[in-house]
Amino acid sequence: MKKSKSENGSAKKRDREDFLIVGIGVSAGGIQALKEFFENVPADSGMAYVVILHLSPDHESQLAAVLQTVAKIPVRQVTEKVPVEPNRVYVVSPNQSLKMVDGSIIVEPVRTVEERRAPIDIFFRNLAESLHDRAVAVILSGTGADGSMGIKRVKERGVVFVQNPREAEYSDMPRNSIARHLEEELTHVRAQLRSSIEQFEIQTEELRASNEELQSMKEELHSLAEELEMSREELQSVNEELLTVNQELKIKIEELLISNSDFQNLLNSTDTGTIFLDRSLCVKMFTPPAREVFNLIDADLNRPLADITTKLDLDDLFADVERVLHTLQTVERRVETHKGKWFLMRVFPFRTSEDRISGAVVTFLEITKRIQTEQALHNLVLSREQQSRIFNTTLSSIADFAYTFDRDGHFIYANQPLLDLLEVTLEEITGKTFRELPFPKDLADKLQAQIERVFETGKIVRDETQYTSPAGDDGYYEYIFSPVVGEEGAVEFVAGLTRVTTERREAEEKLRESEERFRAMFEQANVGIVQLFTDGRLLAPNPGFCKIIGYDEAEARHLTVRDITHPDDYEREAELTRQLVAGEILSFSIEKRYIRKDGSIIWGNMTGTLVRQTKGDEPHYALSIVEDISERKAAEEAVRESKERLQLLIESASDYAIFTITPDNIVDSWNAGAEKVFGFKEEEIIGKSGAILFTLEDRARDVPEKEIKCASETGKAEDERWHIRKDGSRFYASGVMQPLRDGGIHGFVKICRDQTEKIEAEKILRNKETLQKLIGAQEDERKRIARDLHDELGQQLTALRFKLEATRKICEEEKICGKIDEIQLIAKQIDANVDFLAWELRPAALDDLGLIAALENYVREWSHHAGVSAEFHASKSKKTRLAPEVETNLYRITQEALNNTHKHAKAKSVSVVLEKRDNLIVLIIEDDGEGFNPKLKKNRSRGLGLIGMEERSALVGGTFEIESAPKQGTTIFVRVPASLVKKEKENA
Amino acid sequence: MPEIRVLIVEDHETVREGLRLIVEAQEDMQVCGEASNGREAIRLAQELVPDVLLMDISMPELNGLTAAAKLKRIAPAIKILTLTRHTDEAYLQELLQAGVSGYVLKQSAASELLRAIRVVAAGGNYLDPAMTGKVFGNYVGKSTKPRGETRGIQLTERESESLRYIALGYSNKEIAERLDISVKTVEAHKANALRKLDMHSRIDIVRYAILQGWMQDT
Repeated sequence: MKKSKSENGSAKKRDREDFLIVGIGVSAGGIQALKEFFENVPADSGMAYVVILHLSPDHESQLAAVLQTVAKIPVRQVTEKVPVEPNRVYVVSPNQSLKMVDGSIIVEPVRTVEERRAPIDIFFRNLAESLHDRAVAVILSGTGADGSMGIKRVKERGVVFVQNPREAEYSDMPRNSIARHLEEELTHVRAQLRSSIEQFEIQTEELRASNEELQSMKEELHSLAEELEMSREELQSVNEELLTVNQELKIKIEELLISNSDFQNLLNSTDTGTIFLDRSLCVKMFTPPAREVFNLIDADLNRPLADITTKLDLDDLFADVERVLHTLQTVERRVETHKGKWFLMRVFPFRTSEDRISGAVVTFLEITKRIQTEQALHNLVLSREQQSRIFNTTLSSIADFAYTFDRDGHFIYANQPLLDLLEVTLEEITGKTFRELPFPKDLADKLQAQIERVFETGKIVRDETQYTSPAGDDGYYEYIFSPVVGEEGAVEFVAGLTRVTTERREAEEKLRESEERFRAMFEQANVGIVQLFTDGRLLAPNPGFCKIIGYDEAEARHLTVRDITHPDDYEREAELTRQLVAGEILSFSIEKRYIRKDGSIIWGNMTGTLVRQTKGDEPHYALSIVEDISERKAAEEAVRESKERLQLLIESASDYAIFTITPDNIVDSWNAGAEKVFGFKEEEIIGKSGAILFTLEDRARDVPEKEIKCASETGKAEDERWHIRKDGSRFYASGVMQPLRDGGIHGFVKICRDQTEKIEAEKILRNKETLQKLIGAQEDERKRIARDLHDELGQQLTALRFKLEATRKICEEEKICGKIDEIQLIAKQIDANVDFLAWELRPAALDDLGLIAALENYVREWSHHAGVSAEFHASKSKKTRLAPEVETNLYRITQEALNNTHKHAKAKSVSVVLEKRDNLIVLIIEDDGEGFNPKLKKNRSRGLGLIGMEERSALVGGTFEIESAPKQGTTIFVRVPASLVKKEKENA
Repeated sequence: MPEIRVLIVEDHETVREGLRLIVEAQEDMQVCGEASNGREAIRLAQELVPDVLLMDISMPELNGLTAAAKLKRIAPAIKILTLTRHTDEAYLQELLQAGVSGYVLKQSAASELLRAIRVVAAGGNYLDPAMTGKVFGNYVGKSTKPRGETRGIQLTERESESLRYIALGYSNKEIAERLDISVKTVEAHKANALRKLDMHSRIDIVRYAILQGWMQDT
């Protein structure tokens, strides 16, 4: 590079106003030139250098630093107004226009396009105008035209330097040196030159044309550059826009981060288990509560849900998810885990913001409590209904009337008994008041007013009323209206309960009356009445009782039964009282002696009963009713004494032997009866030993002595034994011996009675038993014979006849046949006789079919044989069976009676009736025949018939009665206790 | 013509033998079996299914009456002919109730028995002529006039009271005591009442009482 330097000697002043200011315009590629330039600038050139760049700001920013590395003088970036001093380099920033004002550089931001495109021109022009001759303009490397216009102005006033084009990186080359080389060659080849000049000229012409072309191209390039510049500007503005967008993007991202964390917090804090699934059913996300259902951990993300263990039935879930993904419909249902927890599971499709389905969301809301509550509620409703039913049934099953009113006093409920009483239905009564129901107006008003009072006061009303029901039943009713208080404390309803008290009132009335009667009786009765504790203490004596025992009431209350009872009577009463208390007897009556206060004895007829308390805790007490019978006793005693005396007299005259003996058994008195009984006359026996009246055996056994001893010790000796008469004959006698007291025993009295007749009677009785056995045996025997006849003899006869019959058939000889016919006839005759005999002895029907069937048959047979109309009637069916001995005897009696009728009565008609009356079986055999007087002894001689019948009746505990009179017919009644009857099932 | 198969039930061996002789002698009959008591009869009858079961009544173990009733319940189709010595009509009634088809007396000729077997086998009923007389005899000569009809006849209170007691089985003496009147008066009431009602016997009174409804409380 050639150093181009303009030195103005005259202007070499150190004066501030006197140094040169060199403006250096640089463009593309000018940096190198600048560096070379400033390398060669001495430190004390005395000039100031201002560098103007036509370059982008990026290059320029480093320029000052770059130049400083090579320059020997300070380099400064101009950013503000700076005074220009010599030996300094000033670099102007791009985008800034530079002005020189009074020796200072002023930078101003670029305002116009002109300034931007030709900053050097503008500066050089400005430099020339402000500095005139002190301005130096240097143009270094560059491609544009910038600087040329400015240099012109500098040239007008100052110095201009231009860089050698060859040295310049970008050069329009200097032509002077090139021309000199060509002149020497031209001398040599003058001829060639001339010919080629023209060619050259043509070429030059072409060149010129090319140059022009180039020029136009350059212009095009220039316009292109302008366009580029514009594009750059556009890019600049786009870049600015991008910055703004970037800023906005940042804000968006921050917002997104916030909402993301919000979302995460929301997911973590929700108690709804949620699982996000993609279309392949892999878990994309889940909330912690989802672990209640699936055993999910964070590492499970992106695993298929099927791999996760669960407490649910998964098949259903997958089916649901598939369906949701298919139909896009939400599925909702209740599921239960193995642990008994309930969840509301909801599956719905996952929609992206572009409305694309990218999977499914499954939520689980725990509803265990809800389910339990629902169940509890359901149960509650059920139990309420049940309670209501139970309540209603209970109320309707009580006898009392139960009902309810609402605030307006209308019925809202009435139980069945009340509906029945009023003869209405529940529908009819509901909503009505008493005034609208069959009640008298005044009663209805009263009841309605009472209900209102309950509503107002909240207090219970009790009352009683008389009421006549629609059915006409008159009665007393006790009722109670109670408030039903609601939660707010106000009366919501009134409940009523009514009870029929008619019976109770009547019972109370009766009780009161009976108590009054009892009290009156107790107080005024002539008899003594005393209530006693069961241990014998007197509880309440009435005045009558006090009078009997001679104590006043207060004294009597301190006494016991023992205190006022004669010792001889006490034990008996105590025992009876014990039985009474024990419930063995209901009451007892005794005649007893009371000891009065004054010690005297009074006889009383005492009746004791026990009053049992119906209430369990109160003790029972005894009630004694005492009648003063001392007078009666006295009278009885008197009667008894006189009777005894009388009897003694009578007996002494007839059947009783009465005699007395001394203590050593010597007879000292003897009455007429004794004479009659024993045969001894008074004079024959007096003074003799009483022992002679005893049998020898008894005397040998000291019976007489023992008798005396017994009488003296016990006061009485009774016996029944054989005695001996005077004639030595024996007789059976009963006797009693008693001592005669007069201070000590001075003798005994003995009374004897001949008992021979009684013995005879007993003998007959024993005979009767024998007879019974005899008759029984006879019947048995008859039965046996009858059976033998019937079953054995009869059968054999039959067999004989059959054989004869068979023989007759095969008989060929006429004579023998005739004989056989005869024998057959005889056999048949015998057969019939045997049959009749057996039937007479004892009909088999009596045993097989019973009395009624047998009698019916017998009466029919008898009628047939006797030729007398006879009919039988029984009030009971044939199946009725009696005890076998009863049946036999009644059958025999009928047989006997009908035999008699047949023999004696000459009757036209006979009735036999068997009836049951009360507890008797009555057999009646009646005929309308001759009759007889049964009282006449001669009729008894009609054989043993009547006696036999009577005996047979007696044998089965029955009675026999005969009613008959001459020409009046005869009726026989046999009555047997029906207890002997027995009923048999079917034919035995 | 097929033979009539007869099952003989008879406890008496000799009789049984005789019966078999007679039956077997008939061309149209055969004895298909024999039994000696009711129990055996029931068993054999079910086993052999005879045309006619010829049975005695009085037998040990189980008598003919019970056996007939039982057999009729078990096998109603079997026809039973009873052969008995009992002429009591009571037996006849019982047997007819039990469902037997015939009743023949042993006392009757053998021809009766054979006739009975044929009648019963042919599905008919047979009653021994000796019994027919008895059964009909019951109804012959009985009054057919309606008894107890009051025909406007007024009894006094005492008369009807007396009749009522008589019907109930009281004796005149008892009635006299109950009504506090003499026996003679009772007899007079009774006689008057019977005359008024044209009645003659106690049975008439009982029937009258039944018609009057007096007997219901007994």
